[in-house]
Amino acid sequence: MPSSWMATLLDQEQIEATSTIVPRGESIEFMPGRPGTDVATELGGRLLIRYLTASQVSEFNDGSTDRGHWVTTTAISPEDVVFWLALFSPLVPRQHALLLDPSQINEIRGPAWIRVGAGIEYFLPHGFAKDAIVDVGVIQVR
Amino acid sequence: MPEYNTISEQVEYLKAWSSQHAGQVAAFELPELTIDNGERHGSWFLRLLWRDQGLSRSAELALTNSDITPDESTEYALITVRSTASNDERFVIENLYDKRRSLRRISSEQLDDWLMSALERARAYTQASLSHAYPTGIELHASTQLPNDF
Repeated sequence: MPSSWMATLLDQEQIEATSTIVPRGESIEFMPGRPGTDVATELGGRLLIRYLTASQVSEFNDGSTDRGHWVTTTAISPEDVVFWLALFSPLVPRQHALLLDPSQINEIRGPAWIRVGAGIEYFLPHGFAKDAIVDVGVIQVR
Repeated sequence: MPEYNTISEQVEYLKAWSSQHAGQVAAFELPELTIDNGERHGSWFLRLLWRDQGLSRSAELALTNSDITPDESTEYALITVRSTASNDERFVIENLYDKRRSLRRISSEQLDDWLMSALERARAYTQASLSHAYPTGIELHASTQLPNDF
């Protein structure tokens, strides 16, 4: 868990150099949207991470633009990810992830601290197109 | 027996069920109430979120597919019911129910009971209930130390 804490701290440091992380009391889903290119600049070219359960490994290979998705900037170990992102069902491992290029996403909301969790997240109200998926596809989180 | 066999169908059922029960929830007159749902990192959730007495409070019901088969062809999910409360520095999170079940074997009355239990539990929290401190949100340049929680 200390490594997750340190990784989040470094993300916080980078984001707050140019932007503000919204406090936990705010609902990220209702925040104003920003162009993905702005977020890409904010993150210095870093990618967004969308964790997956085993049942979802092939679900979003062609993108997903008809619903919202929550993503984070921080690489978190499978052991920590449930607590860190305040997820349900701690016994279901999130051992896979998609890496998304924020510059290829039209609208992004956030960043915000995760309520009853410890990480930082963004919200993609219209999801992401296939072009936003970094070409390695689904990766295994180690 | 209800005809929502797969997790995907159960999610649609829960969306309809929550719409039908909006009036029941409204009777509690929860301040700044928002009701939303979605799928986040592998779990579909229904969340009631409100603020009261300086705390952000929630009652949540979630379905998580613990199999390797997709939601369209899986019947059993981990059903989680939880209540939470938080302020800017501390939080409490409690799982009131977390078992692998098929929602088609759960009655609408049972769902009502779960949601009302989570809602009542979340309403009962006080500042003293917040048992965990957030480990992040620390100024890096101000003598940063690892929080005592670790």
